[in-house]
Amino acid sequence: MKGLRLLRWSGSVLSLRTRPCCFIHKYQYQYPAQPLGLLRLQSSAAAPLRTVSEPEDDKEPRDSTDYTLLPSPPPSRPPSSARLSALHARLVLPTRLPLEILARCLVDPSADTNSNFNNASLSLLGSDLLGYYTSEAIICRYPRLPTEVMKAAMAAYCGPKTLAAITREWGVEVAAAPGREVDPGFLQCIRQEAGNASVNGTGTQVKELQTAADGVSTRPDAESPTRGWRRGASSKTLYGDRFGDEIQRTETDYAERPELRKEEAQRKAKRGVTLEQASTGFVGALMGAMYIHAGKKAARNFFKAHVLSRHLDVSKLFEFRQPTRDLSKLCAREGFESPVARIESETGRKSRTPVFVVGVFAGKDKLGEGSGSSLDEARFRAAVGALKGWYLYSPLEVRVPSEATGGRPWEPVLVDGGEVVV
Amino acid sequence: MPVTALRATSTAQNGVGAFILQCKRLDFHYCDKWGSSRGMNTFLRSPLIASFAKAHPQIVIHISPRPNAHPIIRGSYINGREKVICVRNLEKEQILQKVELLRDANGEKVKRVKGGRVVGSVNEGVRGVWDPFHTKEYRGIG
Amino acid sequence: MSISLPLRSLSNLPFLLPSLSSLVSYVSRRNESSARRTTKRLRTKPDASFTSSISPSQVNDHIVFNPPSSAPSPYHTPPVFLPVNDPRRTLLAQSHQHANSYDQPDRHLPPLVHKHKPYEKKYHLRQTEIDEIRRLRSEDPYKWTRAKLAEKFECSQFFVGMVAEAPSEKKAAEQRKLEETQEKWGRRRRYAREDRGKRRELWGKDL
Repeated sequence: MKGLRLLRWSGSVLSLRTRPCCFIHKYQYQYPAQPLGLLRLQSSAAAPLRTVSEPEDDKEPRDSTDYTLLPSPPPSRPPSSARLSALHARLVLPTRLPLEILARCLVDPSADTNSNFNNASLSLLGSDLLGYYTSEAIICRYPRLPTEVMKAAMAAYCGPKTLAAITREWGVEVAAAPGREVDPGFLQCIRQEAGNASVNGTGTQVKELQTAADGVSTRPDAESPTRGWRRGASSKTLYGDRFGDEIQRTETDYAERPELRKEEAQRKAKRGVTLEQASTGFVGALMGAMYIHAGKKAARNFFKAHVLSRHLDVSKLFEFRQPTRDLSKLCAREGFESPVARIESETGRKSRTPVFVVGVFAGKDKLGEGSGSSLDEARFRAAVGALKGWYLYSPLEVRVPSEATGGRPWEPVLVDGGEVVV
Repeated sequence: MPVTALRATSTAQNGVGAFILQCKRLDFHYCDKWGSSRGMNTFLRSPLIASFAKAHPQIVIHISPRPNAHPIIRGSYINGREKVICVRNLEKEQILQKVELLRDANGEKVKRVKGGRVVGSVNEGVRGVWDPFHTKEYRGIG
Repeated sequence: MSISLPLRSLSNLPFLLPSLSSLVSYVSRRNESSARRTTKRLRTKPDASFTSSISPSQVNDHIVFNPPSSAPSPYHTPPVFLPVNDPRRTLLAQSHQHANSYDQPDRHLPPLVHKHKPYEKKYHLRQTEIDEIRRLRSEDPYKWTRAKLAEKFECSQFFVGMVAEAPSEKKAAEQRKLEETQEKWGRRRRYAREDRGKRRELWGKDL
């Protein structure tokens, strides 16, 4: 991967942004004037929600020095925030990444719609980096992993749930409501209001989330009644995000199907995010900021220390339906003899609690082994073990492409023929 | 579809990659009038607190008065819990010990680890979990 | 099944023998089980597989090989599954202990789970016969079932299902028949069937 030339980047990402006076004046009109008593100073207490819309016109400002109505903390605040400096030190971020940028990473687009002050651009870059580093780590380590399992492993390392957990474990707290007077060390976002939906069977209340899957899909066969059945691995690769989930709509989709725009506008009018979405944006933004300010190597090390070091048992992610059939297909494809199940040991065949240990053999080579309380179960489990043995092959020395800058040239890693297709 | 995947989340192993100090914030409360705060007041004026703060930039330190009460130190932790230690009538060196205790704690409730030499791990041992059907004697029957 | 005798001699396990303290009067008897004493008693000689047959002078330059008595881990790729250029392939081939023991002439493979010979595909049916299968099936799907057709044409039932699917009304009728049977089931049988299905799902998840 060719390194980006940082110095050639436009100033919008690298330099600290200051709000020009005219910008403040615009906001004077869009927010209703508040009595001073309602203003919160240095606190994270809840404030009444305000709706933000882009100003219609440029009128003359009433008072050019009033910063109180900004949607997020101004860039002059971060150096004085103990919480922010503590977060900077806790994550051992390099000094090349200034506090102001860390503060910007903590501003979600739902809190501040101005893209010069929120983390949207940084999180776009950072989430791509996260996806790239995770996928290369998984693919190079387990080159034979099936696509579905690979995507599940990706989601386990850098999916929204995991990133929300990482944010929590970093000790980042969420502001009750964003605003200029809130400590910049808080994650600033407007939380989605809780709904009345409840999980089936339990009394747990959950938020009514509008997912892409609920709305009109971007997939070409969206109207097909058997849509749920068509979500195969290749469909997920083509139409899904990096975890195989359905993606949010893009401008291209709107150009093709203008009726989607109205629905999207209704969703945006609510303008709230869940904690998961805000955390995903924050971790991605910090990753992007590391890449831009501290360089590729530091970003990689940061990723290794905080994401890749987490524990995941990949062998627990598989679910087989017909492993015996898959295994015989696999043996036929790879040119082994067709697999045969053989009883290695057994106990209590005629008792209430028998145990059979069955091995799957291709000729004289043992492929896998499983035990169960019936011959069928043991055979099934042995086939599962053999398939896992195949899919979880890991080369001895793994060097991922992103590590191959300078020095020793990169040697290609094993590329497998792919999973068994029946 | 031959194989489908189960969704999971990776679990944190603090210290395997990065180490995150679990103590987030220390609040020092003192009283100007009460004698029990004498040691605390000397501690807060001594270079001890400054050097501690400098050595631990990841901990937010707040100092505030708590009139007509004993001095306390309150530690806030990443897991959302708090730990409070009353330092009445303690000398500044003793207070520093308490501060270090709060710094090293992880905020969990103090639990007795039964069994003495219990070691927990998420990884399976290199020799696997013992299984009666794979012992040498048993192998012979097959 | 035969009852196996303990491998170690009784002299190695003194705590199995009647204790001397039982001879002492009841009053003066001390509590025998303390953690220290139990640990001390359990500190027995290691199993023979751990000790070497090599003389003590050579003890430092050899490796004790004692394979684990545990089910194989899915992370251990079987030697046949290793790619050709993987260094583990040659290393395992050189290793005496890890070599495939079934390769030796005096070692027989374990017995088969299914005694019958594996089904061999014959590929003997031509287009005319396939057309005949389809004709029969559409003529009277209730008489010409999969099993009957498979028997007549000497092919597998799966193949019959593949080339000549049953008409939808027959499928619906079969489904109705199944549901009628299931309606007669009581609570216990229904639950037992459900549980069996759930357990089967766990096989595939390897839980």
